[in-house]
Amino acid sequence: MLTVCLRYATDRMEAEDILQDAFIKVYRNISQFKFEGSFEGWIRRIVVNTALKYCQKKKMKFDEVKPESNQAGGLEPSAYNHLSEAELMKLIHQLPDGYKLVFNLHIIEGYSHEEIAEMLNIKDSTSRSQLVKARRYLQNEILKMQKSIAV
Amino acid sequence: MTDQMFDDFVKGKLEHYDSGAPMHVWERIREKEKDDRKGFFFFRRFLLAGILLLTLTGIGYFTAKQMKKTDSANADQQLPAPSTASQHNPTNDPNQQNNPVAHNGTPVSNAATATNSSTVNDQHTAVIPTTNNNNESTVHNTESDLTTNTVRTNEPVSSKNKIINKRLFNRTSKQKPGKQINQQSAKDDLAANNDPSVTNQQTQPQYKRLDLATALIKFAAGNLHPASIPYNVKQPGCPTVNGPRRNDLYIEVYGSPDYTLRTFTSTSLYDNYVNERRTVENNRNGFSAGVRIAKNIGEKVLIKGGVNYSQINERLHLINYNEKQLTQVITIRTVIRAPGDTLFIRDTTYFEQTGTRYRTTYNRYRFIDIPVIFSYEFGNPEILSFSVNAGPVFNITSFYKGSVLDTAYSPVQISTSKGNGPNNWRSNIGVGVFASFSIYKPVGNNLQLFAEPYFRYNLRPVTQSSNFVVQRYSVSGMQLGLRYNFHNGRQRYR
Repeated sequence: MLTVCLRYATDRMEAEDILQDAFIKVYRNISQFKFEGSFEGWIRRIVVNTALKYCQKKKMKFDEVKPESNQAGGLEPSAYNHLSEAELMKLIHQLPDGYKLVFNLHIIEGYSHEEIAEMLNIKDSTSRSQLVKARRYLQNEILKMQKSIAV
Repeated sequence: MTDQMFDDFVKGKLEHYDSGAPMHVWERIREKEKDDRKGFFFFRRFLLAGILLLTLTGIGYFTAKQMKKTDSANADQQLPAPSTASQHNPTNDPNQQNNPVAHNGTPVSNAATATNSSTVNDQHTAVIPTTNNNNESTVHNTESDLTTNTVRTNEPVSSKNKIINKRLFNRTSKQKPGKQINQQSAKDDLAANNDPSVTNQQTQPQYKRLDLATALIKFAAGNLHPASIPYNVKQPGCPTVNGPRRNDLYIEVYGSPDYTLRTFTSTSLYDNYVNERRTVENNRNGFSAGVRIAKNIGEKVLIKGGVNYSQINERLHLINYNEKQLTQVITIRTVIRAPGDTLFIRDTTYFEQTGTRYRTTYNRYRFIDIPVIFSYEFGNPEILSFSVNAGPVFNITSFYKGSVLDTAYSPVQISTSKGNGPNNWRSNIGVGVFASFSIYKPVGNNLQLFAEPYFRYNLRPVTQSSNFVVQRYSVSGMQLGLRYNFHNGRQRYR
């Protein structure tokens, strides 16, 4: 669960704070768990909601960052083979706040754009565009990384 | 690689990726959880202690009040004693007064006791038919030796009666010898009243004492509630041992600078909106003023009612860094040509300016209320007195002027019309709870200055019930004012 928090937090300290708050909530509301669905999923949802509250406190902005190039779309699948989880985490961490949130919520947690829009109080279209840009950004970064390894 | 493949790749890599939380994180969670529980129990303990304290204070207060009533009744009954003693005690020697035993031993007293024992029993049975022989014997003993034998000879009587008897015993044993003589003389009078040989002229002034004696006997037997003593101790204006009864009527006029606490309650969906409002709406202060009448309903308890006006001031400060302003410029030129005709040329141009716009709105929220306050006073009213006050505050009407942000972060006028927008507020916020502590300083015979820090919590929010954001105001302040007493009676609640 700390990894989930790390994906949303700006640093490790904040991730630990989020985890602490989330688990306090879990302890307090354990009676509300109805044994329907997985327990891990229930905890994960609480952790994600707590992380979102932290993000909202920071007055997150959905800025638009112009990608340097759009050539990453055709990257070969083999280019990702050597990418470790830690490196991927690092890259996600570098994403701007808005990109990071939407990317995490949609790709990893599996929320739809409508749900994300409601959770973050934004429009569906904003969520979609942020995701596309986040994906491009990541792909570009991976490409850059591959180039530097090749050199 | 397509986008879908990329997404699947990232999800596959990170969905179950776990770096593991270090031990100190779990330690922190455990500590925090323990602290929270401690806090809860601590609060609950305080709550229980508070309830217990309030209950005990209430019981103590009412018991003390009851005892005071009984004491004042006894004091009233004993007021005419010295003259009576001098009238009816044939051995009115000061030496004998200081020695009640010697007094009881005089032939006159014994004669009265001997002749009266059966008479009193008869009378007692007539008043309370259910009393048994034990009580009768008590009366008899009381007649013969009130101060020494009452408790000892009353064994078959219930424990409650014993307690009452003990109280009486304690009181009588604390009395001065002269007063004991009066008790005895009262009993002598009782006997005399029932003796047909005594003339009416002698009986008439003795009637009150006789009544008192009967009441005392019944009280000693445990058959009489102190409040139902026939001697009218509840007569208005009847002086008590502490002086005249309190009969105060005050008018209080006050004003107060206020500080307002605002709370928002909403779902997490509106956190951004609430945060924005917290940022742009600030500078809350206000004032209140009012007048109220206070009337005592006990020696230390007052009830207050009046009218209170309060106003909350708030500032809405908006900054738009991208304000666009469109300006139209019309230029008219006059050209006089050679043939002599005049030509007017009108040029119209527009230009747009972009700049920062500062927009400030001063909001005013006004409330008119009727407070009903119960007050408990203590201290020395001639030097400095205090009171603890609490009670409900009923809102009569609320009206507002100003703007608040809507969900699009643009200002909208506050209105009291129905709706679920953040600007739809109530025209009546209902009941609030008021609590305060007052300090009174006398500045004249009838005039007192007072300072009263207070807190008011409104049970209902200002926003309407259908609103997605619940906005509530609680007010604290320091009331400063004057209190005028219409009655200049000496207060005796210190």
